[in-house]
Amino acid sequence: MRCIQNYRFIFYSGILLAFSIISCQKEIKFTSSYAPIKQVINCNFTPDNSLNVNISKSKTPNDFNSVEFLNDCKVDLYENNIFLETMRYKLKDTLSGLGWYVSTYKLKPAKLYKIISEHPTLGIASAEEFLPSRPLFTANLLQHADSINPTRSGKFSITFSDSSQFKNYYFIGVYYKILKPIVDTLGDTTYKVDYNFNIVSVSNDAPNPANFNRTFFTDDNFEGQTKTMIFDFNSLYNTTYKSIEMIIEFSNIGYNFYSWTTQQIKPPSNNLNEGADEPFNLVSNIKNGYGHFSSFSSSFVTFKLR
Amino acid sequence: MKNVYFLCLLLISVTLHGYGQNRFILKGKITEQKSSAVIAYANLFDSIQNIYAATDSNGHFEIQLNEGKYSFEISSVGYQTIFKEINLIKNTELKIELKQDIQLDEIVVSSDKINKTAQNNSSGMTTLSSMSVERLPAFLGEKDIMKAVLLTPGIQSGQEGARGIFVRGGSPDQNLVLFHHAPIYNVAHIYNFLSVFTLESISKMDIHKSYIPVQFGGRLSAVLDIEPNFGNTDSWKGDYSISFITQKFHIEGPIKKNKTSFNFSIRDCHAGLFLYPLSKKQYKSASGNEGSIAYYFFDMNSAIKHQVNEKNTFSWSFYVGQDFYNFTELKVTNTTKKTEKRSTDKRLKWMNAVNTLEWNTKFKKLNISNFYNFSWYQLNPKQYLGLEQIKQPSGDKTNTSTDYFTKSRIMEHGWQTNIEHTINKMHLLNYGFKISDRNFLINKVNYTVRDTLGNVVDEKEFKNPTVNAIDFYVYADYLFTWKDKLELKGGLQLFTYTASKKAFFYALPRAEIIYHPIVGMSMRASAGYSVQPLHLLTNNTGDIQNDVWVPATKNIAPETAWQVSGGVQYDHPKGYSASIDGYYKKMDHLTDYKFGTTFLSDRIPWETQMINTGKGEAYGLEVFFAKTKGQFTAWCKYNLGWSTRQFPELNQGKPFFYKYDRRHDVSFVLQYKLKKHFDFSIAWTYGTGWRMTTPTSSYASDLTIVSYDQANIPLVGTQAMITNWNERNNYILPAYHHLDIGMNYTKDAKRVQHILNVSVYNVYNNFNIFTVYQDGDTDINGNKYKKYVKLSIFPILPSIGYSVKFQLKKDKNQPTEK
Repeated sequence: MRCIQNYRFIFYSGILLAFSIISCQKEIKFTSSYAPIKQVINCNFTPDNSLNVNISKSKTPNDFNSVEFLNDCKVDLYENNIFLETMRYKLKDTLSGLGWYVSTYKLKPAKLYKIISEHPTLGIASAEEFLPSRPLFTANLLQHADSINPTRSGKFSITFSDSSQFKNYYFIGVYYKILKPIVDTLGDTTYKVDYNFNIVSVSNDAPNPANFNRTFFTDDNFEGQTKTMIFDFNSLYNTTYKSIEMIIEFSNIGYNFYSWTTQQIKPPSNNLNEGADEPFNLVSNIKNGYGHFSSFSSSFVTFKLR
Repeated sequence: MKNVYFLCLLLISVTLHGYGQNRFILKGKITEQKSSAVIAYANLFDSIQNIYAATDSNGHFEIQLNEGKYSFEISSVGYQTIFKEINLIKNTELKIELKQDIQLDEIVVSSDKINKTAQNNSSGMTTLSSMSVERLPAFLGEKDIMKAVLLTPGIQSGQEGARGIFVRGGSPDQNLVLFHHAPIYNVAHIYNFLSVFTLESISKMDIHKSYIPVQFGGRLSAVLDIEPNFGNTDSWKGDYSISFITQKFHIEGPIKKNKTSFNFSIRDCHAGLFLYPLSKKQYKSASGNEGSIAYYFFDMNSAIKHQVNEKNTFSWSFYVGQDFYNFTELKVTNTTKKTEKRSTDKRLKWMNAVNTLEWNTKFKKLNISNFYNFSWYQLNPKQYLGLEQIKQPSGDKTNTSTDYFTKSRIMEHGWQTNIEHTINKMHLLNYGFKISDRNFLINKVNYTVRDTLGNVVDEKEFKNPTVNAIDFYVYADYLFTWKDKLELKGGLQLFTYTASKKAFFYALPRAEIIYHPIVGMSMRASAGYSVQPLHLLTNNTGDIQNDVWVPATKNIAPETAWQVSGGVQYDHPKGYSASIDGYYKKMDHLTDYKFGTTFLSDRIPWETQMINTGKGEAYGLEVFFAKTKGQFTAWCKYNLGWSTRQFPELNQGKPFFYKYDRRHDVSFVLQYKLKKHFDFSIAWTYGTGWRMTTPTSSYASDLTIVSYDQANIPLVGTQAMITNWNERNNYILPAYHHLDIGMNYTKDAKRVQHILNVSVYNVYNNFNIFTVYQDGDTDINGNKYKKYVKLSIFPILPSIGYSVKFQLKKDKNQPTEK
């Protein structure tokens, strides 16, 4: 019987091996034409800071080479449609060519900013975004883990007044700034500053189905009102840390910041369907180009926990 | 006034004519000669005296006739027609046996012959018998009825390995597959290699795709109604067969002769015997890591029929099947600081079970069938992830493991009462009701993390609330037949559906007209409205199995469709037939995934992840030719079709072609019986390639900004290459086609028959696309580039299958034939 099984196994294995040798993987050359190469503008801006704009070239889908950053663009900055300056290029990394066009002007809140980038071969690309004011808010830490209950979940509330003047977009982020013990080879302990950004906060008023580390919401349901929201989050407490600070970032963001980020937030994939890989074109505010030109104005509240 | 006088005279003459003769009852039962299975809706026709009768669903017929001689032509789809002369001088009971038309009628498209019951007469209906599939070429030694379905007009497969069938531009979930009136929610084993039906477990399959009879409800595109094999009432028989991937055993016979019969079959897949060791070797050489793949499935069918008396019959059928897939991997990475071992153990199990109890009774002119059915489908993915870290040089070891269990299930109980009411030859009625109670468990997720000591450090359970959905419909179908020329059929289904405290109501009319200008020719037209209160969420290129059925709710409306179709068919007495049909279908409330959704992931209300705003349109032509008599038989089909979808949320709201918008779909089958022992078959299939969305450009950008203190510096946070895409499904992949040949050698011995089947799948070794994926490569100048690679998994596949059949008692002789 065993002998028969062996023969059967060898027979089947031989057949399958033969099939697997002649089964095939071949490259497909798409006959459809690729889109023309365009400027790619990447920029997040915030009040009281200079504007940093990165510009690169888009690629054809079959191009696997490194991104080519552009340093030969003429980038003009406008505030409320009034020309401010032509931005200069600042090289950050000689090897990769990574750099930014930087403004000397410090951006102010409640203004509309626009850039026009002209490239010798790729033409003109432009974008504009309103920079909202930093929000005023109060925050209360209602519950948190501690040395007795290190696994207790956290809860906090925020209260703020929504402006009736504009349609507002917001996000809430929770971070921990910790002093972490590091034991060196000599056995000495030193403390190093570290951050934990991956804290998910959820609220009934602001669902966060993808468990993203920032919770995005709009003022659709409380336009122009004073609003209090309660958030739950996975609080963190560890007695080995010398210092634990919890930071709540509450940000009033431009429409394109909201749109650009929320378009990309996906639920955590568990490889059980391909829905997460659904082909999708990101919509942005860059005219004749790709990327994003996004604004955010954040305010912070810090709770010293240890 | 003249007309009234004439009518009175006619009535008197007819009455006087009737008084002059004795009237007797002629009744009987028509069964299949080989298996003794009853033949439902067989026709008895005396063309001289223009007398017609048909059997009910239990194969019985009964008519009252004057004393005299009659010559009946007895026929049924898929059986050889016989002629029987009867001299009626007293009440007579007949037992008639028909022989399956094994050389002929491999596939029978409804010829729309007049004189059928209201239930089974519908245009565009195709009937496949298990015997007709036996002579087709085999795939890896296994013959499958669903492969034969793909050779019939209007039906196509998606791609190599795609799950489900596609009927007239619809999606696979729009087809209702019934096994003895119980819906089967998953009809395919892994990658559609085989269906869950063994040939021995089924008697025949009716495919309705134009006028869908009103007793069937809840799907938009087609109904595949499978009748189980209840076994031979006269003698015991069985068989054992073995092929490359499966082995099966089947037995059937009478428990009580001519009263109670049963059928039992079991099949298992032994591909895992060689897949596991081979995959282990190949994985090691391909990736450098330890890894293996295992796969296994089984099917078990059972059916019993008991005839209590002439008027009452009970039958029961049962099916259960399960697939099991296992993937394991162990990745070891060594650095100067630590050694890391990551282990993955993915287990996927999916299972189907159906069960039906039928009671059939006759009361005067009514034939009443009652069905209780139970259906169950469950998908269980499990993942065990382990991480072992050994720190260097201390050798300290830490272990963490994560178990991730997911479960999705649909369970259905249903009751149907169907009444066939034969008023007379001209007026036939079919009416009844059906109620189905479905319970959906969309997903239940258990997540457990363990530390080095095996202690649970994190444990979560998430369950989307189960949904109970009830649909109830009453229906009536009326068939009016005028002479042998015209049939008018109208039906109405009143459909109610309730789920999540929301009720939906639909009036679903349908109508059909069939005209026979000459003998053998029929011209037909039909229209119908249908509703589908459940949706299948699946994909065809992702994991091995990820079908999740979800109900329509107050947020996800049921899908609806209108279909009109029409065609012409001609059947020549010498066995040639041809037909051409056209159709137009408009669909509404179609569903799809929202961007980036994962249905089985945790903490996400499933309804928020779907879009239900889709509209669809499908239209096309179907041409069919067949030669059904003689040593050489053949059939050929050609479908020309268009199928589009439109969602406001997808493709910028513009219409786009459906992934399986297959413009041309052709197949032909040639069969030749050589002497007693050999028969040969050739089948060729061609279809326009499936569609995919292709990229147009890519660019670097911030994916999401994580670091709050550097958020204003672009490309410092999480970077990504973002891809821009062309219009959805804009690229047509190379056409799908293959030629298959098969040969059966049959050797008869005393009560034993040996059958050797030799088949070759994909004779000219065409590389049909199984999936397309992206890969990186380097050109001759050393530049890296991305490419799309098509993967083919079925090259030329020769196979051998062997089966031995036994029968304890020889078949009876043929009934009297003229």
